[in-house]
Amino acid sequence: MIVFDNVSKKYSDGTLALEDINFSIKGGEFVFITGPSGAGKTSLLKLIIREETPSLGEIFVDENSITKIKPKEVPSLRRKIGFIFQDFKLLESLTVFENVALTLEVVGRGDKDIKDAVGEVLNLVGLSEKINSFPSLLSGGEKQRVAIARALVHEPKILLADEPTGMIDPATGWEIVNLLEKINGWGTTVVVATHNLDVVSSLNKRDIKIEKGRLVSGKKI
Amino acid sequence: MNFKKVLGVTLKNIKRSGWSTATSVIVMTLTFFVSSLFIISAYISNIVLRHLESKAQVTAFFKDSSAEESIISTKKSLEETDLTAEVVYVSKEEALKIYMGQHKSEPLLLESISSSIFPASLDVRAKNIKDLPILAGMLEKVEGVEEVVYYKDVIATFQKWADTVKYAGLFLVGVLGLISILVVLVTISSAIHSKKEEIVVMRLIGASDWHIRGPFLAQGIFYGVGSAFISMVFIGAILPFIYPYFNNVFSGIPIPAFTVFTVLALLGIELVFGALLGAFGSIIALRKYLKI
Repeated sequence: MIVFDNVSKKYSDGTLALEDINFSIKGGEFVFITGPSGAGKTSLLKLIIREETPSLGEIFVDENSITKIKPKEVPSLRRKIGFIFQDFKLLESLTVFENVALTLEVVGRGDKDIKDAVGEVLNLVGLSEKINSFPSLLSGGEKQRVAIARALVHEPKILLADEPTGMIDPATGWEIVNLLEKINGWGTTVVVATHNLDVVSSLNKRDIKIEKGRLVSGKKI
Repeated sequence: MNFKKVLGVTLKNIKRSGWSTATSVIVMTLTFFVSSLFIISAYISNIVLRHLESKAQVTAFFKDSSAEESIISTKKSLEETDLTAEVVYVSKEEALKIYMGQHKSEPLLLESISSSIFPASLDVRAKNIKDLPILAGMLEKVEGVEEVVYYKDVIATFQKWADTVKYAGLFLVGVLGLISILVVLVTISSAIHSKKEEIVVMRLIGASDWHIRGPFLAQGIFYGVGSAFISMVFIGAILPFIYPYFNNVFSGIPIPAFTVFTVLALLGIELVFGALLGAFGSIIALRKYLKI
């Protein structure tokens, strides 16, 4: 489902974020990408959604190379993927409903469809009561749930989460991890970048470890 | 994104832009208002000019001592040249009739007047207005001609005035058009800036270029079309006052009234130009400030 083939990423300022990365993730797998801050975890996730392009090597998503796709093909790649951002990236001027609905609006779904799907996904993440609230009135955990709902509402094949427990308290963090595990149980490929080793050790999932931009372990499936 | 959604987002953006929207609409309305006035002036100037050209003639007044046969002979020799479209002989009696016809409502002017005070004349219309000076020169050399009058200067002056109106109007419309584009550019740029965060998120969740750019483009077009419409409402309101004014200034020249069709045609042209002007401003802003 996701393959990194000799991928390196060097930024224009000369920083080598990733070097010679090789791994593959099967469809339906739950994988952690771990490593200390600055190891290159976020860069790796950005490469998967074509937010960045590799300096060397090739990346495959769903058996298609995404390295040389045209800019106009990027939106359709991103629609296959749900992304949970570390800083949530919720729009403060929109309600919970509108934030989640945004994902379906960009794929051109109708109003009725959007209403049903958003209601369903908010129910799943336990935020039905907050459907008309604005993000400023939500706790960190609730914001993270909205972010998950937004990433999940269009039923993507792949769910990427960048430090999903990074900005919330430990108890809420566990709830979020359990939710991600539940989503994985439905067949969605889940890739979680984290430096929270407690979470990693508790779930007994594959761990792709990165240090200073190099793969340390977890190459094989 | 369907049309209804684009319209919804566009209206929301317009509402959020507040004062910038007001500035854009005011400046663009002014542009279209001035353009409309310019088009109307150009239209009327053209009619007046054509009328003056069609009436352009050289008139040669003959001395009282001139014999009618000699005047008729001059008429014939003028008609034999290739330059004249029409040569009309106006006898003293006919000149009196014309005068009386023109002043029939002023009996004081008509008292004790006789044909003896009017000179006989030849009214000569040229095929080409440029030949009027040649015909005037020929007539001046004819024996018995007392005075040669022609309205070359009147036409030249009016042509000059019409050209001045045309060029000044074009310059003014050009400057206002440029200002309009700049105002739309600034308004759309600030709308893009205020939605920077939303654009980033939409990009990351897979929004297409059109989905992101569409509402901004529609916002510019909306300003242009809306302003064109408002300006036409103002033009429609002042047209009943403009028309009699021009009729009064150019009395005697038949200026056709503006029909509903003319006004609608003008509205159609301005709506198209409004859309193009607004779209142009938006496209520049999108190219400069919205990198996807």
